[in-house]
Amino acid sequence: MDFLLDPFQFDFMIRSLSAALIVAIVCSILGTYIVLRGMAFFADALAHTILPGVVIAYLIGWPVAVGALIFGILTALGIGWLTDKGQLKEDTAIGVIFAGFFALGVALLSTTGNYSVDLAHFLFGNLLAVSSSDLWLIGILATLVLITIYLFYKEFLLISFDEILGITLRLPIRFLRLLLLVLIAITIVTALQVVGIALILSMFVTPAATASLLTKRLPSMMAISALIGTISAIVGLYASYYLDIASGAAIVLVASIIFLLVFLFAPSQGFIWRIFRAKLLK
Amino acid sequence: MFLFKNQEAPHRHDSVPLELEQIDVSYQELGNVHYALHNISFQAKKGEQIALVGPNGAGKSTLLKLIAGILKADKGKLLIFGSATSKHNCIAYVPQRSQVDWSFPVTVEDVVMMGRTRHIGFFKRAKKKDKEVVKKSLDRVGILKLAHKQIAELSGGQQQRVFIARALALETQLLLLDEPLAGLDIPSQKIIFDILEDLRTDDVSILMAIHDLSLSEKFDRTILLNKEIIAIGKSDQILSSENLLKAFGGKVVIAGN
Repeated sequence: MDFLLDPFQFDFMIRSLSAALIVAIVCSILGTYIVLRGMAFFADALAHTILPGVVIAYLIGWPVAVGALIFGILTALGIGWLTDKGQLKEDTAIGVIFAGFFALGVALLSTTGNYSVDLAHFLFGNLLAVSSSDLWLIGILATLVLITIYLFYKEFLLISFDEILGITLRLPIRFLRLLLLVLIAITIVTALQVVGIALILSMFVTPAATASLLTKRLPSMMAISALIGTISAIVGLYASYYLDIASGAAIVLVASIIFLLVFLFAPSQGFIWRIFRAKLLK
Repeated sequence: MFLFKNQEAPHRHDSVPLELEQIDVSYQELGNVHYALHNISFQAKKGEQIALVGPNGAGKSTLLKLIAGILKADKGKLLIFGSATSKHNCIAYVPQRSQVDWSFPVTVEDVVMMGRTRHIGFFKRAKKKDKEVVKKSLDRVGILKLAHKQIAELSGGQQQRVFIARALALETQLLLLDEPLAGLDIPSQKIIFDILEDLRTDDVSILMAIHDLSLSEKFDRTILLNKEIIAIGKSDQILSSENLLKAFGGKVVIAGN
């Protein structure tokens, strides 16, 4: 029991765990749409392009989240604008904006004295430093994202599965697409302190990809994904405390290990079972 | 908010379900203008079933997508029940089977329920009536027992029927099918035709691209297409060797005739 309770005699550990749990759940649920729509590269790029916004906000003393949100939405709109006329392929446009904005962020940050420490915090998170006002912000943004997913559940499902049906039903497709991008941007802001820019992608895709190996229905995929996210956050935080490793990395590692186990041993689609069955059939 | 309003334009009772007048769809390549469709004019009556035949690249899919409102014409007039196609969500488009992601985590019932999206409306969940309509639609195409299957578990013919059931669930007045028979065996093809026959009681107008010329006799009229309309009418009257030569060039092989 002491083993389990020991870390939480510290207030900052309770705050860290709360933040990690909220972020893991909202990332895992939104992540199912990212996985199903094949938007992993986009989500990763979006996470990187917010760096200049974060740095500017940090330098002028604004809440980091505000800067991140502004640049996240700018990127989402910018990619749409570059690809709208069909002049550039989407992944090319994403690549250009991704690298350019990220470089701008690094350049801005390098003008400050505490360059390497700050960069490490932005890139890999600084979970243990989550303040109670940070926690409030994370909670409010996460709630906003989850409510929006709930409200537009069937429309998001529809445009992810069959955008052409959305067009023939005359649904506001562009609005829905943009809304999804904005939700991703907001979620990245919540995850910034927990896992950092470089590892956010894993929070989005790893639990959802794991869930996709276990179920063939979207609601259960979302539930399983959220559960895997939750387990990763809790186990990762304990690992971080007892093994003294970076917390964001620990959470991501746990999620990755769960993925590997499921990939190998899943009941119907697991790699091991398929080999086993193939042997049996011989 | 206007975005979330569901407005189906009124169907004037003196209007036909589908009316095309001198439609052009063109694209530019190396400075030259090419026509995907040229000077297309025809009408479909209420409950009429029309086959669309022509060689690969004749513009069959383009024409169906145009009518569905997925593509836009460069010239001409396209009216659905007397008003612009963008004002209607009573059109159902059944895509080619190869264009659907069958591994997507949805069940048969989920897919058919998507057809009810407009009836349900934004920010609302399916009501009892929607569930009944879905059930009835599945029953009508004979796949009610498969309602809770993931769509990849179905055979090709059953998958095609899911999309027809979805069209029924959205209470379509104009059903567009893009080669629904491709890759289906004869019994599955027959089932599809039985369903279409059954739809006559609903007065649904149907436009269906088919590959097999001999099947066009099952339709009220046939459009022979190769970028332009080569001929339109009863299949036994228009599928003359002269017309076929015009549509298919030297490539046609009339098997079993």
